[in-house]
Amino acid sequence: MFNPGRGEIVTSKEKVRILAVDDNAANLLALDRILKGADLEIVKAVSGTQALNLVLEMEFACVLLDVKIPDIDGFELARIIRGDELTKFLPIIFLTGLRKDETDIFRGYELGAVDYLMKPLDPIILRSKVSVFADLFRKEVARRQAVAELQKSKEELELRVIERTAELRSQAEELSRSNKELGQFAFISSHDLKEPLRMVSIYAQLLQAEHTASLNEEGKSYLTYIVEGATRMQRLIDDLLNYSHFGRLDEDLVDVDCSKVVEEILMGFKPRLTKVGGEVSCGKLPVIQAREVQVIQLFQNLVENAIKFSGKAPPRVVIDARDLGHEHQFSVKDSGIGIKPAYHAKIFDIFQRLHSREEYPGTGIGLALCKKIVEMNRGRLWVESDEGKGATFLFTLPKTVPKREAKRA
Amino acid sequence: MTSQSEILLVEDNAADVTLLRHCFPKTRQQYHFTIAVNGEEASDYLFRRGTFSGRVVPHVIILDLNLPRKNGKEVLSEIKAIPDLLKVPVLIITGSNNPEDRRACLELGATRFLIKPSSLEAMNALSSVLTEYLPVYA
Repeated sequence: MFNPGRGEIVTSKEKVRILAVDDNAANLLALDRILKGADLEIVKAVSGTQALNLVLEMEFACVLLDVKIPDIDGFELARIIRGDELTKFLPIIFLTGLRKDETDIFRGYELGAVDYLMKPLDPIILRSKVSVFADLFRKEVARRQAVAELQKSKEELELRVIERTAELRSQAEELSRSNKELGQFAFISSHDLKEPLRMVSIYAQLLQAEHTASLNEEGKSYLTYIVEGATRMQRLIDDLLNYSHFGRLDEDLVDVDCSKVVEEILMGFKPRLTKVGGEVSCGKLPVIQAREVQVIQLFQNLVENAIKFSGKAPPRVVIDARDLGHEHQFSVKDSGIGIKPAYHAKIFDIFQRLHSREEYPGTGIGLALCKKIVEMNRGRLWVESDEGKGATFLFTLPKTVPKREAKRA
Repeated sequence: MTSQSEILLVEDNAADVTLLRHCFPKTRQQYHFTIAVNGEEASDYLFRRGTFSGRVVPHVIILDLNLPRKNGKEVLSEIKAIPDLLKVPVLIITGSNNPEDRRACLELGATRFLIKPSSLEAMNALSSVLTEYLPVYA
């Protein structure tokens, strides 16, 4: 198809132009008669200057050039055509009325003529020679067209790649910005929520502690619900704050002695353990490269769960670690109520709980936070357990943190 | 010696004023509270302006951080620039435990950085801390 945007290109169905150069009008007419057909258009020039203008103006399959023409002589014209960047591959067929002259022929070839024909012209030979160049030209046009189309689709493709890349980049930026804003929003609003909630909670507690005498049984039970609800919400906001806080890697990586971390956590649980006759033992734990607050949160939540879900028997919890070469594997094993395998994946989802609040209080954030912390540190967290057979929570943490990540943190 | 402790309480929230007053140990000791409900009122008190022209040197200053008009840190800086108040303990009691605020306040010369109580246990703990900074009367 002819592309109007690319004027140089003619389609193979279009007529192929042949330039005939001769100062003799009768000769030109003869050429026209011999060659004129359905697919050839003969353009005539009567002088060298006119021929030169025409070849610069439009494309021809070949030039039939009379050696003897006025103004510029045929050989000179051939030299000019060969010398010009635009026309240097234009095939030239010399037409000569002289007897076969070796010098002329030699000069013709030297100047880049592809062929010559002696006058008087043999129509059959002339037609067959011209048709060879016409075919070559058609093939060349088709090739150029294919190249142009290829180039065009390549450009379109590149443009689409550029557009799509820019689109994706801006989407990614937008996403990261809105994520950041959401995190900030959650953080700030949780802080602002805490203040009025503290007021509800503390005054409900004061009422309960100092003014129950002025309430009947029904009033007292209402007050209990207020205190419980407010306490639960406080816990929920604290957990949410922790959870959203750990989305931000703004803390430095330091050497954390896990044994010390667990020791301090266990001090906090001591009153509770003494009360129920529970026992927590801890093997030798390694020093790891991590963010201390995260390690504390991780062990705190896992140990708290192990104690909480002990069932009727006093809790027995064993904390240990194994060296797996490139990583450490930690375990927190309890002898409690256990978890059905069907729930093993679910328990790590945020807000996922398996029991009513009356049975076991909690916000459903603890294990989700643990998973987030472990995965942020390129480790894995999972559980091995069955109902009534206790549970072992295992997690791995790599021994070394890649430099790039340590820096980014 | 009079057995009345003079307390400056800078706090904009009425519920917190009541709560903090409630935290003062219930002994035979009497407390006289002067309440400033924003940073500017606190400044007026410190510089003996307006209704506070006859102020005495308090035994303890309780200062919230999140105050209207002039925040707690600005008030704290002013307190530390007044010679007769230099030895008065300034207890920051605020709603959120922000490590940066804590560091900044202690650098500015705050005596303690405490969190507003959210449970009866926390109220009792705050009570004990307050006892440390109140004068002892025979």
